[in-house]
Amino acid sequence: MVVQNELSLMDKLRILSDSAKYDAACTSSGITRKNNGRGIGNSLAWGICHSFSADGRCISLLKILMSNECIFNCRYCINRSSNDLIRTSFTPEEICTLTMEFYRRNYIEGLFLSSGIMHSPDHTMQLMLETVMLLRTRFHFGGYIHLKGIPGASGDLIEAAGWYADRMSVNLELPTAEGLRQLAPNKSRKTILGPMRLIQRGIQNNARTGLTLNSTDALPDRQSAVSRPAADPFSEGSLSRHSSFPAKRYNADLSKPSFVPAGQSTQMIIGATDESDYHIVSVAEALYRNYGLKRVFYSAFVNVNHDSSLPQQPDGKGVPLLREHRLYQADWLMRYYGFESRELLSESSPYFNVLLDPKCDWALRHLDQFPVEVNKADYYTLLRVPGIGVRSARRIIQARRMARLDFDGLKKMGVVLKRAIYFITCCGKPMYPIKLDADSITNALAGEERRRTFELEDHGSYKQLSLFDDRMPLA
Amino acid sequence: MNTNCPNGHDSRNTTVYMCDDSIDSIFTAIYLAWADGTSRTDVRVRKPYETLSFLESRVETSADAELADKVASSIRRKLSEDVYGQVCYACLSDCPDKASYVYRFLIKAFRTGRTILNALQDTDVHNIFKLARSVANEAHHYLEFIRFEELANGVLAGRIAPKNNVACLLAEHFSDRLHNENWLILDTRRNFAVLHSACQGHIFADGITEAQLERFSPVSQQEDAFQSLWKCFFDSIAIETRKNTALQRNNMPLHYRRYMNAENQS
Repeated sequence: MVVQNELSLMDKLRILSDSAKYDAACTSSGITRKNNGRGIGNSLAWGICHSFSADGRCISLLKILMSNECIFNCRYCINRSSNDLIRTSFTPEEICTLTMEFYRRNYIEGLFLSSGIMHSPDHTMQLMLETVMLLRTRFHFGGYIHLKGIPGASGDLIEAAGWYADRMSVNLELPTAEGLRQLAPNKSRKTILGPMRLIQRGIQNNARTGLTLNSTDALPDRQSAVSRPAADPFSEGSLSRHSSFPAKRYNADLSKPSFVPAGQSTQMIIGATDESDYHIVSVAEALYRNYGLKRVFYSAFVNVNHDSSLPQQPDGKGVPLLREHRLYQADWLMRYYGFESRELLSESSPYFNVLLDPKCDWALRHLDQFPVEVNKADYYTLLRVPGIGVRSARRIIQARRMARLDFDGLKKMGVVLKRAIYFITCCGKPMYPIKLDADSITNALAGEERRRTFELEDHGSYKQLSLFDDRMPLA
Repeated sequence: MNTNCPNGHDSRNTTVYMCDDSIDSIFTAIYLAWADGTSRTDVRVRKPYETLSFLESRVETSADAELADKVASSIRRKLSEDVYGQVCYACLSDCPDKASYVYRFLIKAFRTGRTILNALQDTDVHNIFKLARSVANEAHHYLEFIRFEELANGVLAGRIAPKNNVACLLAEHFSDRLHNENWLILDTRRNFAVLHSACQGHIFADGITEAQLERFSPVSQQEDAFQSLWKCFFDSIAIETRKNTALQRNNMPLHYRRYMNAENQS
């Protein structure tokens, strides 16, 4: 391995951002924090995207590796030790300069720092910790920091890092321990789940001592949600759990330290091993439940190393983006719509429908629960109607207190009538006579979905998933 | 010019109160029109080269801080801060009919009370909602896409050319974020600027042109280097096999990129 550290800053940036680009997470969300009064920077809970790269993905953070030197040899990874690459590393000072200067010019929301494993996991984590300490204490940087936890690093280092980062993530990489053994021989479930548990405990302790954190529950507790009187889910503040905007908290005051305040996330590679969609969403659900994760990211596999033991991709295009897209749709349904993984898929039908999104698919399998009367149905019933989202359901509940709703009114609420008309009535009447029959509805919906899928794969005019169909007005 | 006002009211005998394109001016005209009787009046923002309808009579008004304050405080007191916020956002829109929309909305709002914003099925409410949403969306996009250049005198200068008048909505955000920097944001379409002085606060200034900004100071020596570094990062972070410029353009429309150097070259 040839290590070149005398490269220019530009060359290092090119190499170390190029190596970081396969990491899916680039969000800056989860925490609102005012300026600390000494340096630049603040943070907004709903996140800000500063640019979109040529592949259409959001650029919100300076996503780089500390180093692309790596002693591990994970088969899927471009930086594996057996690859012949130019290897280089940033110094902590270089990273601070780039972060500060990019931030001042409004290019980024903050730093996303990951790394290959230099010498040992502890050595690497130590350097990353030094970098964020420098950034926070010498440069008084108040922007967003997302830090990778290095698998196998000691607990002390991970914990120390958690007091400086907003979000930490340890990549699960593959959904099964078996897949990990095959493809990432230097990593194990233990070295990945260990730090994950440690970060979770840190967040919980921080919350228990009453300093800054809210509940870290990512999944809504459906049972209590359903049994709650449906008329008024908002006034009592119960919606906060379903909203992506946590209550505002300001931890500019350093006497109130907060541990990983924007929560922890992880990433799974999709399609490198042969797990089914059902398997993947079950793993994600378990992570949300048991590890209190804020987000699970799915990364459609691209065989960058042309490794023969991995799925071959002769067209060079990687796993179809539609698969990744369906997983994100399901992820959203689990986190915000009160769905459980076993409602969406099962052992007997373990893959998502190519032609229908998971919510339409579910609705068609449960036609006995439809049509829903929009003037009467409770919030959680509305949420299950295809074409009605979190925002439009909220608006419907508020608007129908003022006057009865008709289809024209629903359109103004942002309901996607193309999908919703098959599943709703207004004042007892459907928009036009509709046969509640799975085949005919499937045909109608699939025609529309085929067009969207085509756009996704070939034209890319789909929007990135967002919880809300339009943005929050500025405060 | 239509002989009917946009809401389909019969415009015969309508008195139209003409105002300038500012919140104060619109509020003043609303106050005067209201006093005249809401059933036969309308409010409109003055445009250059406007034809008169012979069925309307016009009353020219100019901003009066006291009257505007009365309208503002009534909205805040009798309705709510939310309603006030939505109305202010709507007034920043570039929609030519905004004054009339706001007027119609307020007539209904004072009749209905503070729950008015929930009645989205109502056309007058929905109109205001749409205007406010489009202003808020554009403002949010500029929080994302505005780029500052460092000038030789240390000032960070950002230029924008927004459709709606959103510069004032960016001030609060950057005053907090870059509180210890001297910076300015210039709306090059309206020649309107937000000027911030380090650790102090910001002021709004009218009548500042792009040419004046260029005379103010050249860019700093290291500016080009950092712009090149950003361009380098911007290019290398994209996954070549997933190239998708349509999606990129969808998420970051070209009109926002006017002053985004790296993104403009791609």
